[in-house]
Amino acid sequence: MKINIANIGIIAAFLALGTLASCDKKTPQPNNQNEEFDAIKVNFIKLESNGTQTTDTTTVSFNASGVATPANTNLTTDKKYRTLITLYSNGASINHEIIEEASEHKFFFFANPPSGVGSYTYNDGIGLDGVMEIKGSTAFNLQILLRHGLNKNHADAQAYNSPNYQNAGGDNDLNINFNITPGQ
Amino acid sequence: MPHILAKHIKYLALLLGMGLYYNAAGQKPKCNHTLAVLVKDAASGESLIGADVQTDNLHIQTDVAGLAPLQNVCPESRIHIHVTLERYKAIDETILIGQTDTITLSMQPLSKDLSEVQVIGHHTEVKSANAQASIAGAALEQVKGNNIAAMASKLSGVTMLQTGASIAKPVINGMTGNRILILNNGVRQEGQQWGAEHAPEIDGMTADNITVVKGAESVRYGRDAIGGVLLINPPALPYHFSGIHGTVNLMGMSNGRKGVGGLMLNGALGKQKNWAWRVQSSLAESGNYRTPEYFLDNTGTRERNYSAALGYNQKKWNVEGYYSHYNNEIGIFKGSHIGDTTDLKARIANGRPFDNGSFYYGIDAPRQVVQHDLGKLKAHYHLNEQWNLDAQYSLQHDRRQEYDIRRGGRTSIPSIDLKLLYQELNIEAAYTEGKHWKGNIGINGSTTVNNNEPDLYTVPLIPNYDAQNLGLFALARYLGKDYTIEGGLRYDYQRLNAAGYDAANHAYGGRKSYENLSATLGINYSPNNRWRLMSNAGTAWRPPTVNELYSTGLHHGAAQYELGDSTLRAEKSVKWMNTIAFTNYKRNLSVELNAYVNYFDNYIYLNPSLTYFQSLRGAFPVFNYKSTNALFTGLDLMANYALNTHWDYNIKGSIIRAKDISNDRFLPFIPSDRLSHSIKYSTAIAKNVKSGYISLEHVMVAKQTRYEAGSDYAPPPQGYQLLNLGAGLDWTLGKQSININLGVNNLTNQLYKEYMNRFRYYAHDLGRSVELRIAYKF
Repeated sequence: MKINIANIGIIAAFLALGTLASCDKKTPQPNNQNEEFDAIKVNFIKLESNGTQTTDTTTVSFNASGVATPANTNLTTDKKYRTLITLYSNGASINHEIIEEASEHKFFFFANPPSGVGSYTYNDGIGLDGVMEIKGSTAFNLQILLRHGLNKNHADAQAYNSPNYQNAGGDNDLNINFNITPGQ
Repeated sequence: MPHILAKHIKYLALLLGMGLYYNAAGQKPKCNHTLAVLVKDAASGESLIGADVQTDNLHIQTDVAGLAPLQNVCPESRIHIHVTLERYKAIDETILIGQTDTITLSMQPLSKDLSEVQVIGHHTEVKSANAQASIAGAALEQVKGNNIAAMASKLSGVTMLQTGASIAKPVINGMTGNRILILNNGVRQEGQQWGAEHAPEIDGMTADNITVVKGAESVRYGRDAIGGVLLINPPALPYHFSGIHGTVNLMGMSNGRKGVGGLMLNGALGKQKNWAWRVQSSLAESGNYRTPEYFLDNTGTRERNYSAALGYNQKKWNVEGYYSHYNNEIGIFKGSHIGDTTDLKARIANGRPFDNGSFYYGIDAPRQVVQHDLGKLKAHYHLNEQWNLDAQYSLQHDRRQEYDIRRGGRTSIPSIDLKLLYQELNIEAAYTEGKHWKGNIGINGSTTVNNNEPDLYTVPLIPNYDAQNLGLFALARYLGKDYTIEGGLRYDYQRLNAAGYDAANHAYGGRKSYENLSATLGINYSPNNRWRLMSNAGTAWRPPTVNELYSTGLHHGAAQYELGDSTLRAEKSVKWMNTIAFTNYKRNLSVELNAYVNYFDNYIYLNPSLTYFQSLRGAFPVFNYKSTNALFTGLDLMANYALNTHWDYNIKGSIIRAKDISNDRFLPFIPSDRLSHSIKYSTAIAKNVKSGYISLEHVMVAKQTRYEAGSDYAPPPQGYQLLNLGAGLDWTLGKQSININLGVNNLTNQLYKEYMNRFRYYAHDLGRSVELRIAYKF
């Protein structure tokens, strides 16, 4: 009889434990995601031949889906442009996050056909700020890639348009492209 | 008769791969050994209570667990045992005792004319008419220190779904994740099984045996037991033993420069030794793994696990408590971290990482940190000759944190941080009427709560949810002269309530409920002790998981955009498993063939939509969860032939055919055809050094040719062949023993890729590994 009582006690304890412990989910909170950039602006500031800046600025904006406005950008051939890239999250620039981790980030620029870009010089070692030379008269597509976690000392991470940039490791943080038409 | 018996014992031991060896001539060590005699029903495998066990100077009855402890027995000696129980044929045998702690005596119901004695270690048999296979004893020692899926993959019909070298999920007859059930120490494993890159949160070092039941077992266990059940059992608690016994494990593996240490201590307390306890812990650390040509950066692991058990055993009842803690940190191969589809394509085109990596132990992002706590309390009560009652309450707490490579110092904040609390109560009554009828009825209730930790600056992959389950089942068995018929029914009900916010901060979720009626019917026919035929048909089900219902975004780990479907219905299946087994002890041959058909109504899968999601990060392929009708068929073969007392040949193979029959398409991630065979030479090296062996295994894996072009990022890799070498010995020092195993995996350092490894897109599989395992038992 003692045994029976002991067993009933144990079963009752099990049931009590099961009932007492929390069984409901927590009410979720809206996301405060602020890491993914949701807009990008690329500013092309025309430079004089001596390198001084003009007031002629062309801006290309990208929405969260990577769509460029305007769809086609007109720039002057044989001119150099200071190229400034700004990444936004919830309306605020997050460029400082890239600058703080400068050793792990680098932009690459690929023109297709390649003749559209004559040269690119990194002003900041990252590519948020640089100078791009527009060449030729043929419309081209410009792909802008931001690599994260790459070995920036790798031989294939040096050229702005290194075709084998993958060899330097890392992965894409940003991959956008848009059309540029060089003109007079 | 004893002579024949001894021969049987030896062959059985060989067949079980346990490497036990019995020395009849034996010396005369101290006679203070405690030998537990476990008495079972030969037909059903159930423990028999109240059996009279007599030796020349002892008379004792088996307790509620079917155990009769014989004290002051001389190891390495012969013992005369007489066992009687009403309605069973008496056993009257002289048995040779080795260093084993337990002997199992299987009593034949009076209707059968042959008695059979098995000497095995502690072993939990499963009452089922489905095909089963187990790994225990010396065979298990040879694979310890690996993850649980790798250990189980030594069983025929069991393979792995891997995410790199350290994350593996067991696959039974082509089914994995929520289509199989894992019972860890009798408790349904509840963690974050919904993810392909989420390994079961179980410490393999706790296992004394691993058993696979290859059939639909929904009636007995409820949802998810569609493709099969994997049981991971610790050793039985050592009631009635004197002194403290234990095992020390030390292992080293060259690949990953992995070290594993394990300690287990157990003993019995009290005047009657009715209290039994066990404590156990294991530590493991590994660095970067190596393929034959390069290192895989950031693939180290760190494990810190412990467990404790306490039990009290009376003549009519027992109570056992168990607690375990699992703590695992896993580095995710750096080369698998991809930005967008451009990245993925470049890696696949390269077929291997862009650099050669190097060796280090440090673990960096991406990484997973997983903690799993399991507590259980179990009571058994022997009410009377007819009724036995079991009650079990279990609680599991799982915390999964996944850290990704992030910007702005966010790498130290997990991208995923999930806390799950699962509680379950099972109450079961077992009934025996006369010598023919047995039955079980049970009720089972459980609750799950799974919450995302807030403030991670990410969009959670799955919503917060809670779920409640209720199950009721009844099983009946009729034991005939040479057959057993089993039938059962079960009703399950699940209620699910989910809530979350998607990337655009739109609320989603809601309440859902699912119910199912499962049925099983099986027959086990054994006309003589050579042939055994089994056939079992069972229906099974699983409700859709929350990710299948509600995924709404980018799955960074997989570089794909996944869309759930909240209208998905429960997945239902029927599996018909047939087994034909032949054992000829005289010819030292055993062969077993399993053949199965598994039909699915509403098979849920991730379908490539062939469209892309565009973002500033680049393009990502869109996959949506869909359901279809599917058919799986397959064969598992295993055979063993002892050429003589030294040479042993073993072969096992499996074939699976899986199709989406609604659309006449092959299903992805199905293991390809595989066959492995091994030859083993065993011999006693010296009086104290027994069961020395050397073995060579040849593994052949075919290319998966049943594949839909365009349904995967990369086509299946080529087939491959591997050679594995093993050698070991058992050194006995009185009551203590040292078991040493040396193995070389991938002996020829073959460069290969396995279709079932999700990192085959980025890298090859592991190269050669020399592995040393030492187990000291006292």
